[in-house]
Order: sequence, then C-alpha cells, then structure tokens
Amino acid sequence: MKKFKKSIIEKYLYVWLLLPCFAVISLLTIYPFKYLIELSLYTKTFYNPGKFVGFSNYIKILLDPTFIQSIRVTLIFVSTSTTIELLWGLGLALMLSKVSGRAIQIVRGCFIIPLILMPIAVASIWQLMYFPVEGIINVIFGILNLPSQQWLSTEMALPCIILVEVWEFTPFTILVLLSGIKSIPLELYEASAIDGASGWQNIRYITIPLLKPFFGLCIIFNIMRQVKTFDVVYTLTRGGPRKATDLISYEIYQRAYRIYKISDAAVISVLLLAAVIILAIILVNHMKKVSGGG
Amino acid sequence: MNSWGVKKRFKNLLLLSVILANLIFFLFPIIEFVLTSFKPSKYLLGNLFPPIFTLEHYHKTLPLFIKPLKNSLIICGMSTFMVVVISIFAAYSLARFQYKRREDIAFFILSLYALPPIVSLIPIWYIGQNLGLLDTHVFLSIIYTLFNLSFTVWLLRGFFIGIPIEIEEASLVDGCSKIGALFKIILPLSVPGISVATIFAFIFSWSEFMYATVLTRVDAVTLPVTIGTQVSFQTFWGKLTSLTSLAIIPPLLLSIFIQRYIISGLTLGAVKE
Repeated sequence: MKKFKKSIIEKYLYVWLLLPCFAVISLLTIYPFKYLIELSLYTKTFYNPGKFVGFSNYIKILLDPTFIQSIRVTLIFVSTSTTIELLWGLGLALMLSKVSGRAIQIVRGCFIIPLILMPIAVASIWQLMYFPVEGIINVIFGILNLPSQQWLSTEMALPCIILVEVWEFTPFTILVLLSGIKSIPLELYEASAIDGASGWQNIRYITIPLLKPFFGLCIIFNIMRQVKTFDVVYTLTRGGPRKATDLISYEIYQRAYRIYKISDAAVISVLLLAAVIILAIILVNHMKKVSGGG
Repeated sequence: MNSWGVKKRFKNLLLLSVILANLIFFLFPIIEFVLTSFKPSKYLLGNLFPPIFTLEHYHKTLPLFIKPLKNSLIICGMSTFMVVVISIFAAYSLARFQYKRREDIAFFILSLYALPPIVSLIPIWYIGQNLGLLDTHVFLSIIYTLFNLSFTVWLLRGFFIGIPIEIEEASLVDGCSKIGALFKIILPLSVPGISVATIFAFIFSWSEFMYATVLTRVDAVTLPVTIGTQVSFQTFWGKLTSLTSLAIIPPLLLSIFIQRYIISGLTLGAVKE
C-alpha cells in the first residue's frame, strides 16, 4: 500500500508541482470571469441586485457615446505612444550603438530609472511638472519668456498623458533595440564596407531588417502595457477634462466605483477581455518564434 | 587636420550632445522632483533650484510614512515569497518533465501576462467583500501572487532550461529523487535566476496601485495608495515630494542588483544580454 502511494506521488509528480500554481490561477481567473459574465447579463448596481436582461446591456454599452469616446481615447493613446516610442527608441538605440566603453554602462543605468519607478511616483513627478501655478514646465516657460499654459486642459490633456507614457517607457524600447543591434554579427557590416556601403545604407539594408523580431517584441509589450494604463490617468486627470483622457481601464473603474453601475462596468470588462485574448495569442506566437519552440 | 577628421569630430560631438539632451530629458523631471522635497516651504514652487536645503518635509512625513511602509513590506514580502515558491515548483515541472501538452500549459501561463488587472477587479472585490477580506494584508498579497505568477513561472522556466540536464541526470543515477534533484542541484545552480525573479516580483508588488486603492481602506493601505491620496487639487508639495522620494528608494536600490537582467526580465527572457 505504501509502495503504491509512493508510486502515485512519483508518477504524477509533475502534476503535484503544477497544482499550487493552477490553484491560484483558477481562484483568481476562472471564478472571476464566470462571475463577470454573469454580472454583465444583469442590471446590477451597488444598491440594487438587479434583474436578468440578457445581452441588452451589451447593446446599450456599444451604443453609449461615453464608451465609444473611451475606445477612441484608448486607440489614440496606444497608437500614438507606440509609434513615438518605436521611432524615438530606434533613433536613440542607433546612436547609442556608436558609443562604446564605460559611458554606455552609465547611460544604460540612467535609462533604467524611469522604467523602475512606480507609476504612481511617475504621476506625482508629472503633477509637479504640469502644475498650472508655478509648475516646473511653466517656470521654464517663464524663464524663456513664454506664456504659462494650462497643461491638463481639454485639448492638451491627452497629449500630456501620452508624453508621460513616452517619457516613462521609451527607455524600454531603446534598451531592447540596443540589445538587438548588438546581436547583429559584425561581419555583415564588414562585408558591406568592402562593397562601399554608406552608413545610412548599412542602417537601411542591414540593421533595420535584422531588427524586425525586436520591433515585434517592442510593439507587443508596449501595447500590452498601454492597454493596462491606469495610475497616471487616475492621478493626473481622472479621465477628464470632459472625458478627454478616459482610457478604457479608467472608464471601467469609473463606472464601477464612481457611479456604481456594476453591470455596465462588467460588460466593458468582458469586451476588453475579448480584445486582450487576441493580444495574448499574438504574444504567445511571437514568444514561440523567439524561443524557437522552447 | 584634414577635413575628414573635422567632419568625424563634428559628427561625434553632435552624437554626444543628442545623447546628453536625451539623458537630461529623462532625468530632469526626477531630479527636479527630488530637489523640491528639500526646498523650504516658502520656496517650494516657482524656482528650479532651492536657495536653501531643508529636511523639514522629511521630518513631517516620517510619521506618516511608517505605517504604509510596514504594510507594503508585509504585503510585498508575503506575495513575493508565495509567488517564488509556487513558481519554482511549476517551472520545474514545465522545464524538466516530459508530458503531453506541456508546452501548451506553459504558453497558457504566459498568456495571462497580457491580462489587464482591471478586468478581474470587480469580481475580486466581491470575493473580498463576501469573505470579509477587504482591507487585509493576506488578500492583497494573494492577488499580487496571481499577477506576478505568469511572469515568474516563465522567467524561472527559462533559467531552469538553461541548466545542463546532464548534471541532473548524474544525480538521478546516484539515487537522488526528482524532487531531491530540484533542491540539491537545480536550486543552488539557479540562485541568480531566482534572485532576479524575486526582485522583479517585489518591485511589481511594491508599485501596484489599482488593487491597493480599491481593496484597502485603513489597515492595509500601501505606500502607492498613500502617495495617490496626496495628489489632488490641493496638493501639499512638501509632503508629496518627500513621501514619494522615500518610496522610490527600495526599487531603485534593488534594481542595481539586477541591472544586467532588467531588459531580459521585462521581455520575459525573449531578449538575451
């Protein structure tokens, strides 16, 4: 009997090892998702248990101008920041790849700092930068004899939020692409030098094509992170003014915890979840390629 | 000097000045923020460099800082410990055992990394409320365990796969059990990998804001929540800057130890350095 028990343990050891991991995963994903879908089919608020209405919540949300605005803001935020981060990251990585020695270590160390800061600290830092009365940017504008600006106004708020994202996370793209450039074999450049290629031709025909998987990596990780963005909007603008910075995460939070429309928030969460599954599939496929099938 | 040398020099100078300008852009806001925490109340805003340095804000915030610091340390400590232990077992299974659908399971765990935390916020809040666990250390640390799990499992699996299998096989021939091999061979050899995963898990938990702000009220309030409540239309800059400056010290110190692995870690091992 004892021997039998032992063999069960050993034979299925890989299952026992995975068990705690899956216990945590199911506790905090499977049950919540089931509950979320349930909530999305009722008209629940914090004060009212609500009644079953089926998919009419979904129709209501899909036609809701606030929801559409929030999708619009999120798409602008994600596409603009990803583009800027990629171009900026590529430009600076190319320049940094020309610098050698100890200097690069120091520069690298500096670029890591914004990445490691907590998002709420980043929000505080930019609150000080953007503050309308004697905030840092307006002080600098004063020194340059430029008029003070209301930075987080309706027109400027979204670009300002994008600037914070770009400031915090361009270093990520820079450092990933820098590693990518370093991984390109030097012989390729030597060969092209014999052929008399110019610096620009090297970049155009060797560096950029060979960086392709790294671009993919940057884009995927940047988009995944940008979709999650919450802290900066929560602290700096609260989605405003006039919903100008109403990113999807904040819209869900707002509906659930500011106006207490739990079911509406659940509907948007389900829709977001569906969208993110596509992102997850792209991520998995890319990682399979990069890791060469594990 | 010939014109080629001049051109090259000019190019180098241009390169260095652009890099320097970038460094200033990325560091200036942080430096200015930390400087503000040392400015006397009279000169808090409206200047770039404090005329006098003072510690008055730190004296005032220190008592305010202690309780959330304690909470943050407890919650991050517990969740980091849990996630690392659970991940070591799971990563070992996913790296060193042969079974059907192993890769699928590994990639499923990876895919959870794309999950935006907001999606599970409402149901988790209900779970917490029904179980009476809102505003407790335990609940928040379990949630952080989940959100770090996919990351640490994937990272550790990569490290474990990197260890030559022959070493392990030799110990199995010598009569060591599979689980014995994990403790006697794999773990000692992957101390660097485990440290990287631990530090990352700690930094992520330390920085998390959304769950902390919704699930805590008084008893389990963490540092990011305390900072978040300071930022408002009526910001007390002395308090905010000194509190935030103190709170960012631990992650910055920890990141020094894993400097070489930061990009590798943030891309889940896809970029090797």
